[in-house]
Amino acid sequence: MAPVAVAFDVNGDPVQLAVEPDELLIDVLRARLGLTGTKLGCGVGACGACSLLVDGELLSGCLLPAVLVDGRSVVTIEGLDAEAPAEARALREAFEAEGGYQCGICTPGQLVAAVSLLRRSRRPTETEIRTHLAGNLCRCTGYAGIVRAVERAAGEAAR
Amino acid sequence: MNGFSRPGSLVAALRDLADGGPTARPLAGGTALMLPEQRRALAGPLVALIDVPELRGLRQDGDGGLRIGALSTHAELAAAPALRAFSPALAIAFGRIATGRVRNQATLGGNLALADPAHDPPAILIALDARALVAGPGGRREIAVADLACGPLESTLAPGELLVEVRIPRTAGLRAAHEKFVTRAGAFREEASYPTVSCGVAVKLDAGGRCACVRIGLSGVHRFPLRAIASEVVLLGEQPTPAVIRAAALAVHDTLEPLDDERGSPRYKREMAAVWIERALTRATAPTDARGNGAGGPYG
Repeated sequence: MAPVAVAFDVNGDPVQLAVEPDELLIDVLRARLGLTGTKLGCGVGACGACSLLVDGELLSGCLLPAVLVDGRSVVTIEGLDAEAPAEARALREAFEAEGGYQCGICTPGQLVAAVSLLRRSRRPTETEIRTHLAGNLCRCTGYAGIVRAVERAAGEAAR
Repeated sequence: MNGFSRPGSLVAALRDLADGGPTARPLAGGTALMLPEQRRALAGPLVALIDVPELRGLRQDGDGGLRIGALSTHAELAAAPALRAFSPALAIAFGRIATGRVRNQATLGGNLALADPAHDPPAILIALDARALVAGPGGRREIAVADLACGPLESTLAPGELLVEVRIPRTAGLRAAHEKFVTRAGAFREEASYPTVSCGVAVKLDAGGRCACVRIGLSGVHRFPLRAIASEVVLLGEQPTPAVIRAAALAVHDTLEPLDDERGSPRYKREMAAVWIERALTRATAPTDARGNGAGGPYG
């Protein structure tokens, strides 16, 4: 059975690969490209640990066949600084300051999702933050610190 | 599984599906096909629909109705001004399905073709009298969204058929509402979870305030999404008083065969179906204000 040739950008770098038709993007990123910052959690699109930006759109790496990103541009947690320098730095500092993480497994997804929010809405309300992050689960800390961190980062990034 | 194609037209997509045989599967957003269980079951070629232009777009037809391309994502539909203007209830329903990531990826056509018993879009689309344009080896046909599902994850589409677009007629004076009831909430927000009951209603009153036209769509409470005709017939020709609405809602009971799952027992789901039909009807038939907007407003 012939694999499918795909070409796409990952964090600004062009990648050419042959993938199986049903090979998931998360597996390509982690196992074949060594980009292990994106985590595999539930595998059914519910937990958000595998959140990615594809052409700027927030998607689940665990539900996305790699064949569908042919010709597109993928940004993972590893490329977030280059993609959105001001937002990424503000978020990292705010998550630390507000205790927006504990074990860290959900954090890459939280950050990617938060960047996609701050790009759409520079000063989101708490409701907007909670709504936007509704699909990013944390099983350690609860969400108060995460929400405070995104609020704080929005304030910093807006300066 | 073996084989992959990315056809650039509807004709080519139908040909690839036919060539692939009964195990070929169309791939739209992928949110359902890539779930572990479904992915393991893939046995034939995947035909990616992403480049098929005939499946895209959102436009009004000559009669003021809406035509929605099957590849439209839930997020696109929730945000589309033309759809919100046509039916706020429909826009709200698309905006509270699953998570933002899934809404960015999952498509309308994929959703309806999947025939999941507990998805929201069929409930409100059945109420709005939506029809699906289907293309296949034998040509094109139109089918009511209410007739698209016949069992849990079992659609009436034949192998090799593709859902091309969804057509919603414009009915002057129609008032719609969608209610979503969730018993098992996700982390942040009830709306993000699967509904125990998803109920869409659309009602048109005549000059005497009687129900001239009523459609009720339900998901979550039966083996597949269905039209609650037993409730509709109680309302037809009647004024929608609280007593009539209550009687209509209760009439649904014996027509439902709910699945027994984590969202409730069959008995519970039957009772909740009646409760939420009653609430949706009450909202859709609430008196209008001076601008012609009711609690639900025109189309919701």
